[in-house]
Amino acid sequence: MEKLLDIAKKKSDEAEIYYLSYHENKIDFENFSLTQLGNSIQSGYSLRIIKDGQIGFSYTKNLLDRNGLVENALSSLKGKVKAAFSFPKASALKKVTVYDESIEALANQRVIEDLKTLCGFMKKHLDEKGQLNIAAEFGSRSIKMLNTNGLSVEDQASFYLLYPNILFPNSYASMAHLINSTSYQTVSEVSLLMLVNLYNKALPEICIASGRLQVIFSPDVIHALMWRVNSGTNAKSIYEGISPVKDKVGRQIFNDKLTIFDDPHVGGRPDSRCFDDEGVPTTIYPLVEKGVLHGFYNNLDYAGKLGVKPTGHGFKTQMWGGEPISFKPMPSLTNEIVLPGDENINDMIRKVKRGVLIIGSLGAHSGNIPNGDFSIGLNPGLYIENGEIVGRVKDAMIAGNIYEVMKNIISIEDTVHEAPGGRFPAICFDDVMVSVG
Amino acid sequence: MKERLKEFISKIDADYADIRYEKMVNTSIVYNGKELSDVGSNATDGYVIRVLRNGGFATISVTSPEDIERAIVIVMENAKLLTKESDKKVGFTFPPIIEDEVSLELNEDPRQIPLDEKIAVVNHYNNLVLNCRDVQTTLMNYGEVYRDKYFVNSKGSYIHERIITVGINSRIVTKKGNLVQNGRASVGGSDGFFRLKNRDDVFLNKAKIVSQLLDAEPVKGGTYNVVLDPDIAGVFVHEAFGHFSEADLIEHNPSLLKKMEIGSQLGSDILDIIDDPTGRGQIGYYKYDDEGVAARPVTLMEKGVLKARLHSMKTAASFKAELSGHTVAEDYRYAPIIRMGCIYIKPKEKTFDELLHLAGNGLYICECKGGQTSGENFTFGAQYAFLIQDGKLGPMVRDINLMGNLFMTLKNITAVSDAIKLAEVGGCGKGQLNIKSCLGGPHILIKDALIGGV
Repeated sequence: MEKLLDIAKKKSDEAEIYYLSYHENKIDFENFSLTQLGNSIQSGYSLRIIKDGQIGFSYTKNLLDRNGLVENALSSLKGKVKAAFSFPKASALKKVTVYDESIEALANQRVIEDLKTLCGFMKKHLDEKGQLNIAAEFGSRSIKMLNTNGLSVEDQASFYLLYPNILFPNSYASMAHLINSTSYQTVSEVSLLMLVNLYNKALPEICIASGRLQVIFSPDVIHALMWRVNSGTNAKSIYEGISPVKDKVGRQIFNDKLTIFDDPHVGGRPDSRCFDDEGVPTTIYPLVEKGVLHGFYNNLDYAGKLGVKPTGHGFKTQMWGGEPISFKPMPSLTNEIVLPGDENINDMIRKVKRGVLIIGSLGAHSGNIPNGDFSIGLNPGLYIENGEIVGRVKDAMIAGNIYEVMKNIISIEDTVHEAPGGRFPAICFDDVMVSVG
Repeated sequence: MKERLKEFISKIDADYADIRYEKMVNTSIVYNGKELSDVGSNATDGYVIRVLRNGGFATISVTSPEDIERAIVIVMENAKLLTKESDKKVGFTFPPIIEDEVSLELNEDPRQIPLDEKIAVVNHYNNLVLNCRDVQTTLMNYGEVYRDKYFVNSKGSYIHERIITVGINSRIVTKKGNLVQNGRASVGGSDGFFRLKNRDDVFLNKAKIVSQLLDAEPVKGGTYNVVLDPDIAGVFVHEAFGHFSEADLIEHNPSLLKKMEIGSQLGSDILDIIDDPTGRGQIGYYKYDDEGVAARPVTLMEKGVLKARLHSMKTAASFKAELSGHTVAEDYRYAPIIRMGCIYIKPKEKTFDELLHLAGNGLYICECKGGQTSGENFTFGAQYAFLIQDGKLGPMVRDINLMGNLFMTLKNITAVSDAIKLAEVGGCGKGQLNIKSCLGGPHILIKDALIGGV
């Protein structure tokens, strides 16, 4: 990397090198049986240069030709893409615990044995009423960054993801439990039994009439709402003038029960980071405090364009995955968190006279996301009648706009859970349109 | 490369092994609004090794050739572990041994077009759109992906296939007051740069529609007779039906397997569904899949009866079915999985106007905005729709999301139009992103479809 930086330095005003390597093991169980084992050992380099106020970019998987990589970055200057920033200097970083070296010694054999035990337990308790699939992924990744302004940082993280899910008949709709940790973990029998209990309650299919109901979003579905919140608070949307909350900093945009922030420093969560993919130190960043819009998260580019301070949210991620080293850093969150409220989930359900508890969503990515609109299939949605779950709703969708629906919060669960996209509690909303086929 | 890959394969002590080396050259030009935000051309590469030994089938992907010997040790250990720990031993149906060099057949090789000319084309469409009424911003993305793929297996096959896809994918955002609307317009294909030229109408028409959406009313949720345009009919058949024709998705799901039994009458008798990756020019074209199996058209449904599935070597053996050549990886980072190549409903005799007349009152739903499936349930968003009133097109409506039950909906398709249109860019996110997944079809009429609305 140093040699590459030296070459790039001679031919540009500023240069930055990003190196990513990872190895991962994947284990799949389908219908209680081991079906797949896969591994991946990957690495690659990205180079950014700034010359005459313009930014160049190149990347490669195998660093066989350093000069070629630099020449490639230089040739991309042809586009005359303006650099509204300089690469950051070295600064103090918060210590974030995200690496557990024991993951390196974790053998597939051991994980398989534990998952077989889990399958046996669930088979016994499900009594042949459902099938269990399990996806497990574990390994580690390493990021190193150097730039010509003196930055030299590295970060190593381990990860262990486990996703046991009980499928409903004729469907991939499921009841699931997510572990997203830096260390090997097992699911407690108590958690598994709760899952089985909820699954059994949800087995009957129920036809209901369309109408406006109270709707509880479970933690696993909150990301469908946050997707829209993140679009509205992304500096790119602000710069482009397409955020509905562009001029609403300091104003109430959601119910005052709602506080949303990004915490890159959560210990034990693999996505936690002490610096972003541009070398900017990360900080805990509030998006919405008690319903009031706090601010917009950015990367170096959009911070420069908007004339504001970088927030440390420049990450090489995209909506549908892809090769990280091929991405330029864009504004993105690490660990989005919704502050818990003060109600137990059972009490929240008990207070619903007629409503739906959404466990999974279909089509959260479709619809007019910049405008805050959502229209998602219930996959599944559990029907609540007089405070009791009585089954799952057949063929139904909910629709609304976050800037209206998120004003109508009845209650927020008193616990946050590991969920897709962050750590969230369940949230109960009033007056949500449910359409039924 | 051929000899090098053969040498790696010779080091693997297994019943079967294959290795794929893939080099990709991605050329990207991106405008965000008026600003050019990305220009460049970069190459990436890597290897994928797959091993079958005593009924244990394991895979590994690796970037560096120096890591290949370590990768072989790991994948062999995993194959042994699967032999020991799996309830079911894996078998393969093997294709004929193939030795082939597949060259590109292009009308204007995108690699030969100077970067300045490419930038000028993208800039032209971007300016056209930015000058349209109500347009707030754009994302205009030129993507050119050249794949140079080498495949060698222990049976003696050697395939070297080159594929190049090129497209301009745009997002157009309009704004009025606080209301923001967006839509997508795309052009592209797999047979040359010519597809991107003289396409002003595609971008101008979409900019006009996205502007009109600002004045459109949100649709009212409920049940409608719907006419789907070719794009969204393609998404329907891809999402709702196609994924469950992929044998790996149902192999270990007994309830879905029972529903998707070959010979079952699943759809109305006017419904024929085909997947064919071999059509030249469409975005999903390839000759051989990533298992070295020659692709072929597969009639999945005929007169509403389920006729066949899409298979890998593994599922073809498990289902005792014929190979279809549909096992494809996103890139060098992944082992291949079963994917659709180009799926569509076969056109019939009705005209578009006849479909509107048959719908009576309902919705004409146009152009997809993402879809997802989960067993028998599916959902997809549409960019816009028109009310159908007494068999005629009425005002535009927005915020369309359609949800349904696959088996009910297949039976509720009551008319199919006479002209087919295929999408010009692809995209499917089944575990891995497949930008070469093509879809399309004629217009179709579905009775009593569920539309989510506010």
